[in-house]
Amino acid sequence: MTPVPLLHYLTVGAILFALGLIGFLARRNMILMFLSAEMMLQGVGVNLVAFARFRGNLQGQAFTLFIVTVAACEAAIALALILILYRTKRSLDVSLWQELREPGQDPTVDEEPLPPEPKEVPSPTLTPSGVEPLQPKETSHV
Amino acid sequence: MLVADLASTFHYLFVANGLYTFALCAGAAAVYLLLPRPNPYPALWGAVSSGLSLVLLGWQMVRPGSLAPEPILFYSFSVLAILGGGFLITQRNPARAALAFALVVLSSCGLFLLLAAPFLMAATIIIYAGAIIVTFLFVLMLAQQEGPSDADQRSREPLLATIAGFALLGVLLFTLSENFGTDNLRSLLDRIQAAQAKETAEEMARALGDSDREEQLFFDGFEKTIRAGGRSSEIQNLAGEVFNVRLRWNPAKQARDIEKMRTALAEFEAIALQTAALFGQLEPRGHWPLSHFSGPASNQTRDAFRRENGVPRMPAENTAYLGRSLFTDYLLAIELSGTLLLVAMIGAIAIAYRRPGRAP
Amino acid sequence: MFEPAVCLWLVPLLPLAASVLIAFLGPKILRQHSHWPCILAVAASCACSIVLFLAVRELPISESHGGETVAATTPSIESHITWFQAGAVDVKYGLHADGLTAIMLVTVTFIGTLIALFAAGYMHGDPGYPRFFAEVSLFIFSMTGLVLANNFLLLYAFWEGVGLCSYLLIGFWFTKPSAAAAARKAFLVTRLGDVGFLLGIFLLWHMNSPHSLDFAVVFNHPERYEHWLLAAACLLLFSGAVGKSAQFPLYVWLPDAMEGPTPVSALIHAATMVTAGVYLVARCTPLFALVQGVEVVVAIIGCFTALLAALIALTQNDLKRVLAYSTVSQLGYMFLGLGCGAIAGGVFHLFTHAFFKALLFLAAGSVMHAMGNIIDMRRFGGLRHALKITHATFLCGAAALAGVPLLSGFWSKDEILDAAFERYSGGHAYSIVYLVLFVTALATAGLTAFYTFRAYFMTFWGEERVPPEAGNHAHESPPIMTIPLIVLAIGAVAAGIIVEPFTHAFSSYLIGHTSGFGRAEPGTLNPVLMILSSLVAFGGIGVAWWMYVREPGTATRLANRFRGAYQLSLNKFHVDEIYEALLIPMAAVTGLCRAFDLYIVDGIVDLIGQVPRLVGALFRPVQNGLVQFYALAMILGLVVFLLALAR
Repeated sequence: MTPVPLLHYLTVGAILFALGLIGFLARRNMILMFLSAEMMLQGVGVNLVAFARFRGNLQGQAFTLFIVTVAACEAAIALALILILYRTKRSLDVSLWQELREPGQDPTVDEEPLPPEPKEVPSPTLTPSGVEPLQPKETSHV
Repeated sequence: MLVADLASTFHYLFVANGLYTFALCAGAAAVYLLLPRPNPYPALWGAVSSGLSLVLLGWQMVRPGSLAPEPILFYSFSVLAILGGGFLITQRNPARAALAFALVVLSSCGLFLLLAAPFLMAATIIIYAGAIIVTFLFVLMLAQQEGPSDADQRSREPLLATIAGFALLGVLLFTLSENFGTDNLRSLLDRIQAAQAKETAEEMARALGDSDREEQLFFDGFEKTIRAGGRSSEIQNLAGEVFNVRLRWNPAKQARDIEKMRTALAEFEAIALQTAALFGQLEPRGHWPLSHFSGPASNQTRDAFRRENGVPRMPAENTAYLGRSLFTDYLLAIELSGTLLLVAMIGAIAIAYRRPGRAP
Repeated sequence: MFEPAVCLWLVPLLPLAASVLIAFLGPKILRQHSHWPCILAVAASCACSIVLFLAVRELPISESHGGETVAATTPSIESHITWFQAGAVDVKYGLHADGLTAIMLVTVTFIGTLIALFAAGYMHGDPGYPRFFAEVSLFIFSMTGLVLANNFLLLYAFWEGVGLCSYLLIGFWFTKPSAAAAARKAFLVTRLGDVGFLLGIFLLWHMNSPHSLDFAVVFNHPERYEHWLLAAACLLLFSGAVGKSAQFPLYVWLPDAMEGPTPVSALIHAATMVTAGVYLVARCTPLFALVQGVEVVVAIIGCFTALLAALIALTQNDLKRVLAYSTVSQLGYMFLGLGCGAIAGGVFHLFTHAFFKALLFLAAGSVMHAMGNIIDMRRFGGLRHALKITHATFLCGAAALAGVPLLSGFWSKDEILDAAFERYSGGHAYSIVYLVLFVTALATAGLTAFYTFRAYFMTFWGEERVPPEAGNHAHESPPIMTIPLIVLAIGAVAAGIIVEPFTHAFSSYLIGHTSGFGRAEPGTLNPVLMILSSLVAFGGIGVAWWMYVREPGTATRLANRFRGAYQLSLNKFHVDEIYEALLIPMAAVTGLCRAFDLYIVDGIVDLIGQVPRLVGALFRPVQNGLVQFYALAMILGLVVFLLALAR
């Protein structure tokens, strides 16, 4: 019976880190960017705890605890800032904030149009029962 | 020169570690296909690709015969974590992505548990899944009540981001496997253990090599593998140990003394296990004043604490030990992080506070 | 303090110091007293020149062995410091003083002093007063440097220096468009000649096998040069002289140079700068003496120019123009003399011409000063009672110019005519040519006398008319202007008879103390010729007297009779118009050059200037304001870094 080698734990940590990195770079919603950053921190935590296990002391765990603490503070501040940004532009899109580009550069705009939203099919309605439908007025009695 | 360089790189990437490379490529394709875009690719392609990459990775890394609870739990938690992570970054709906993050946190907490960190597991679940994710969801609900917005349906530079991420991952994985990969050692250990399982002296004598030359090759490989494990003096000493044990093995083999041979083999196995535990580790510094509260200090020698399979045993009263070490070794950090929390709380309120009557 | 070697350096450097001093201190500090450094410096230079003159006289005379030129070891006073050395090229600031140089120095500095004194009075009240004296001092520095130089390179440098000062001084009133244009014309026309001069210098450089441009080396045994190369070199050198000394076809700048102030005309365009060409040809006598064909060319051009200028001067109404054409004509005489092998004659004529031409110009300046800057002779007349001193001195100068017997001009002109006749009668290869030249020169002498006295009579005889610009009342110039006139008049009258005809002091000094002149012969006295030239001179004066004093309407009647000829002469034979018509097609080439400069050269420079911009534009899109993009760039950089490390 062989235990799971250290390398495997480190691999998992690396994969989580990389996925979080891609999420941070690719997603445009500010909340999702932040969540991806948090996932990167999770990956690092896995690494640290794995090392702590394989060296036999608790230093890695203490470190991870501090990481979690600081991540909490960071989340609080980041959400406050995101809230302010949202208030200004009424959107959580990070691509709207481009004012710090070089003067003379055009802003990056989305070119591909979104597919049109499927029209909501209105649910069918029945005429209310018990009410006589309106008849057209009779104009001749012949 | 350049051609030789390219040829050797090609060989290294695609022949020696081909599974890694293909797993990475499949994973990159999966992420790229699944990232949100206005005209998305069919989700099936991404799913198949990601499944393929996980399978390839598993093929490379999973040991045959590891059907014990620990590996099974490990693999299931890690697959969950990876899939959750993939879900998080490719999901259009941000609320679903937040829930995927919760799944990731839960899985990695499972991993923490497997790594003998129960307090950390609980703390992470409480703080992350309990507080942070809930706060995120609150903000999402306040900001985007209608679900996915226009921004969520597009990605910024999906191709470059994928390439960057997976290139980084590839470098990391290759470096890790170079430094911490114990495959060679595993195969040697397997042979030693197979030799230990033999019944007769004759078979045991030939288990490590049919001829003298083969046996010599085996021991050379053994030493080389050990020396490649790191530069610390411990590992180098272990390599020297092999030679000493061989001095006992050879006459035992000549005399076909099965007890002595078994002893020698046990010693070989211990050496191999110790090396596996020490693989890729740095030389501990001798002069740092560290307490023993968080476990054996890194400047302690290996014999000073309990071991099992070459890996040290963690203290059973994990929380007590952790608490003791936090408030002695890391007291300053604790106090500072407390202050940090206070400041962050005040800061968050101060930033987000809106004076009544002011226009939003 | 006054030893010769030091004087050698003081002569050019004192005026240079004065020029720098006036340039820096003049506008604010010296102002109306800016003339003092100039006058003092030039006077001191004159004193040093006299010291040099005497010192050269002490040197042993060079020997000539039966016409052979001794290897140029005629002793002279020399001094040099190294300017630069590049490989085999070793260029020195070398000054040397021998006979020719000493004579030129004395002439230049003496007349320069007198003219500076005159100008102090003439330019009084002009806003550019300090600038004038700074430029005049600079000119004296360049001119003295020119005659003192002992190698061709330094000579060329000072040649350009006098050209520059001429430009600055002609265009002194540069706000007047005609003056600015005249300055440009002078500079550009002399430039044409300078190109040939430079080519000649290159050729001389090439012809010497340890390459050198020192006079001592170049004039050493000139028989060793290949004949055609030597002829080409001499022609090219002469072209420089043609430009600077206003010979045909490059004389057109000199009449227009009268736009400058009158002292400038006197100094530069009568006495000193225009004689630089004569100096050059005289200095290169050892070379010219060996190529008879080039000598003949020199003589022909000189004589032709003399005739042409005299014909034009017959009808000019502007007093200074008459004197300008007269200068061109007399320069032609000098070249004729040099072309006939009469070195001493040519240089002697240079010497005397300096005196009387400067005198005439200064007197004209005095007249202008009295007439409120009017110089058109038709607008004033009969000034001999109002401007007594000016009248007397002008008469002296005019008489000397005309060749009245016993005055200086007479002797010098006679020497030249005599040399031409000698060449004809001496069985020279081109003797027929020299005969023609002789006759032409004689006729030109008559014309000279005529137009000179025409100008004299129109200005000073007849009824007294003063133009309104002068306030209807003419007054004599202040003493600071009349004293130089008097001194020059004495020189014009007496300088000739003292030095040359009976004592041959001038020619023996010149020939004895200048290297390479061993072949030249001192002039002889030919009584028949003297009588002939006197008759011609008096004839010209008489005709002028008849036409302008006795029967005042004669001139107009003759002009109407010979309308065509008169118009031709009045319009300067349309030479300027011909040049303009010839040069306009050249504008196409200049257009090409201009386009090249504008588009290609400037284009390349602009392109280089654009390169940082383009490189910046290449990298600027990275800063597009998107945070994720920045993060991506960082991660990509990190990946590359890690890949490099992981190698």
